[in-house]
Order: sequence, then structure tokens, then C-alpha cells
Amino acid sequence: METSLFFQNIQPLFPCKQIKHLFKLCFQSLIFPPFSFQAMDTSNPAVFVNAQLIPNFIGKRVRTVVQVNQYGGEVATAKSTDDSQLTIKGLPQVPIMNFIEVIGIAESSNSIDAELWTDFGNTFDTNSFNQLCQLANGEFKGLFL
Amino acid sequence: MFSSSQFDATAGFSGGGFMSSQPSNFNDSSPAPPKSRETQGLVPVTVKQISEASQTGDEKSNFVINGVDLNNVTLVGMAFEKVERNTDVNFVLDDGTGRIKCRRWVNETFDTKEMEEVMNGMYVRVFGHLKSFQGVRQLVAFSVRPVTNFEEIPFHFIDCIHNHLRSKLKLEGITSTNPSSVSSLNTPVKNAPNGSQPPTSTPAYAQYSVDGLKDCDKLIIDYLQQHSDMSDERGIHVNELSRELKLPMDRIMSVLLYVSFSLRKSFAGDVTQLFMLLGCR
Repeated sequence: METSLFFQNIQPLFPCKQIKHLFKLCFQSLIFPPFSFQAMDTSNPAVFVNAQLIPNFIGKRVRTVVQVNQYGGEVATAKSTDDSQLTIKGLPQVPIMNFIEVIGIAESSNSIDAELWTDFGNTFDTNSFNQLCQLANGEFKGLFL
Repeated sequence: MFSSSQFDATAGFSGGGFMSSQPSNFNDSSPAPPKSRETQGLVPVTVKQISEASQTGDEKSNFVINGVDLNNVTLVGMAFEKVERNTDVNFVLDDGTGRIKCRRWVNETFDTKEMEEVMNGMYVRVFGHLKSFQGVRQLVAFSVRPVTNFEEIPFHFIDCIHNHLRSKLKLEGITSTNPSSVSSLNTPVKNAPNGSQPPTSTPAYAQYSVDGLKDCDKLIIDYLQQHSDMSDERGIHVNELSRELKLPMDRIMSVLLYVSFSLRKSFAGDVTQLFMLLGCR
């Protein structure tokens, strides 16, 4: 059961990622008491981003809220909270123009591979979320990452 | 107040923590006198903050962050790995900054019903008590509620930032600038123009700030809060605002439009106020 915790958020594509994570775990188990990474795990955070901040976190786990504009097969085009276009992969059919929170790996400076998604409804304060992204990556980064 | 029966059931856990908060308060060499007020408060935190909180002494003592005791905390995140048992429900809360194990004791049908609504992958708001057990930080939850208005999620993180900033400033001995400065801003503006000062003139308030609109927001909101009379549903007329605060009408209208636009939901309203206190637009 414990192993599922570790591999839940790893993309099973590149073995080097798994190996890196295993090394991290071994290192942690040497330093901390054996149960610590079971109950308190801050090793895999999801960074609050908007379109402007994504380029800083390519390959890392990010979270953002977007408004879906259209679907094209497996890929959805969405508007970020700072009014840029983003591409989201792996999103199922959700109502157009709804706000969706997407948590996943940032593939490039304008696309995210979604692992988890939540429908936030059709009203959302994008301005506040945008400012939160700036604060969470700026002065108050220590509270999040 | 939060069902002492629950704490009786967890006598090994929170009974000790709850009572030790008082003695640890007196032993603290923290300079801030009104600390006893802070001890029993409910602090919004992220899992990352919990992981970094220092613990004074042994396991039974409290967690401390920015000089404030972290007794009761509130978090917002996704629930995973929910395991229901006879006496308790365990789950892991992932708020994007980390994961923490949570335990909710179920003694009454109310508790069971509350936990039945919680599903894996669902956003929940958790109120609970921080405990350390065998070196592991866990949360003993006394309330778990599914999030229905999703403005609550950014609101919670902004609340964490706000609380962090406030307690950090108190710790550093700097008196919190915003409330006192705004109240001092209010009185001069209201008392000074007893003479014939035209409402469109800017010098009365321009001297107090470089960014005029930011302080105007605070002036207007403070005036509204101070003079709000709940029995009078009509509220305050914009003419009165313009007259009392000596601000031009178009400025008042733009501020009110901005505030009312942000006030679509109650959480968004709190968010706007929080941003103003944080001093950013």
C-alpha cells in the first residue's frame, strides 16, 4: 500500500524519474524516522502557476485554473487566468467555458499534461487566483514549496 | 465547544495537547504580551508550513510557527486513501504543498454522516488539531466538510499568506501598519476640510500616498464599515461618501464598481479585502 503513495504521481514513461525518486526516498529514510514520509510528504508539490509562470516549471508538477475554449481530439485549448492560451492534454469532456483546475506536469511553456482535474463551475475569480500565483511564487514561496 | 466528547475519546492524544498549551505559554520567552489570545486561535496553514513548524520540547508540546502556537488549524485540500473503520476514518489530505495524514474519530451518527460525504479526490476543508505521534505529524480532524464554492481554495491560501504576514510582523515587533495607518488616514481627511474645500481637489488625500487609488479603497471601505447601520437597509449614499471623504464622485464609483465586481461571492469579497491589507492590487 505504501508503494502506491510514492508512484501515484509519477508518469510511467521514463524510468530515470522513478530511479531519481527512489534515491530521494532512500535518502529520506536515512535522515528521518521511518514513518515520516508515510504521513508527512512534501516531496511532490504542485506549484501555483499561470501562463506567465509555466516556463519556470517545465517538467515539474503544476496546478492552474483555466477556462476551456474548445476541444480538438485529446487536446483542449483553454484560457489561463492571465488571458493566455494554454493546451491541456488528457482532459475529458467538460462543459465549455467552465473553469477547470488542472494539476499535472508542465510539458512546455504553454501546455500541461493533466493528471487530476476539478470542475470549478462557471464562475471564478480569475484575478484573485492570478495574484495568488504571483504571491505563491514570489515573496511567500516558502509557504508552498 | 468543539465536542469535548471527541477529545475524551482521544484522551491519549488531544487531552494532553489541549492542557499543555497553558503551561507552555507561560514558559515561552516570547516578548509579545497578548500571546494567550493567539494560542487558542484557528490558524489557516499549508501542509508545508506544518512540516516546517518547530516543536518546543517533547512530543506533547505544541507546534510553533512565527511565534504563534499551532493548536487548531484549518486546511483545504484533496482527500485521498480514505479508510473507514468502526471508530475512526483515516485519510490523507493533499493540498498541493504536501500530504498529511488525517484522522477523524466517529462517535455519533453525525460524525459518520459527515465522513460519508467525503470521497477520494474531493476537495475538503478540514479543521483539526495537530499532533505528533512517534515523530510523525498528524492531524486529528474535528470537522471535515466538502468544498462546494471553489473560491474557497484560492481564498484559503491567501488566508495562509495573510496570517503568516500578520504573525511575522507581530513577531518582529513592528506594529501592523495597515489598520492603524488607515484609521489615522480617516480622521485627518474627515476633520480637515471643515472649511470651503471643493470636493474635486486632490491635495487632501494625495499627500498620504503615492498610489492614490489604493488608499482611497481603504478609506471607502473603512467608512462603510464604521458607518454601516444594519437596521437601515438603504446603506450609505454615494453623495455622503463623496462629501465625507472628500473624494471625487468618479473615483468613488470606480472603486465601488471594482469592489462589487469582486464581491460576487462572499469569499471573493474577503479575498479583495485581504489583498488590500497585503498592499497589492
